[in-house]
Amino acid sequence: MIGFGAVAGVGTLIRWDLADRFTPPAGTLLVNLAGTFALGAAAELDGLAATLVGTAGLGALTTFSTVMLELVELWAVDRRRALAYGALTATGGLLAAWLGLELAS
Amino acid sequence: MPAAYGAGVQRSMPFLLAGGIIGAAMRWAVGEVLSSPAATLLTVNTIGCLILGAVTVLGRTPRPGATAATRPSHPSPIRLGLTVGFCGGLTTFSGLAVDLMSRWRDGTGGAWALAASSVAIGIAAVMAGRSLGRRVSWSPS
Repeated sequence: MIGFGAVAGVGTLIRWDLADRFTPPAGTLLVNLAGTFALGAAAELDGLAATLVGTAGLGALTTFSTVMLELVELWAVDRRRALAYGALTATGGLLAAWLGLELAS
Repeated sequence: MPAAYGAGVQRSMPFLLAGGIIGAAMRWAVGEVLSSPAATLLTVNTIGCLILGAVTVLGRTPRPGATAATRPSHPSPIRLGLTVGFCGGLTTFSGLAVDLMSRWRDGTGGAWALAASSVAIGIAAVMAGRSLGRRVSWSPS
């Protein structure tokens, strides 16, 4: 339980730190793609290791709600940028998952 | 850590950590209770989008064109703990993307339905949260 909290806390802090280093929404895109690749690569883990690495660490590192908020906010000011961000997140996320899963299998 | 926050970092850190840990623990607990990955993903992501939409607008006059890039860069520790901490920890992008790709690779089906419903419900939840948040007078400053 302490391990779960520590790992989830680190994931949250890394996401916060990276989000601040780039112009939104680039930081969100970066943590989501990196976290998705890593989760795919960790697909063979099970039990406690899967809970710590996948559920706590990479689950907390990546975020879905921020993507949705950023899409709604961007859509109001720049529809092309919103569409580009949505398309990059979707295709990049699926590609990152595929690459990670290939590495694991 | 974001250097620009200066002394604010120390004040924000406990809220961020608490929010992120509680959010991630809740996502784990929902997964244990529902035991279906798709139901878990839709549940945590929808709740997170709803809360994030609401907390982001709390106490802020609607300004057309407000985005993450134009919002005040020094949100209060409580707001930071609820948004970046709790909602970020509760919702997951990696879990969704890997689940979708596994369905496609294994031929288990349901990938398109889960992808489409995740995005449609996620955007609707953010918008519902924003309109709910504008009716609340309390603000985390």
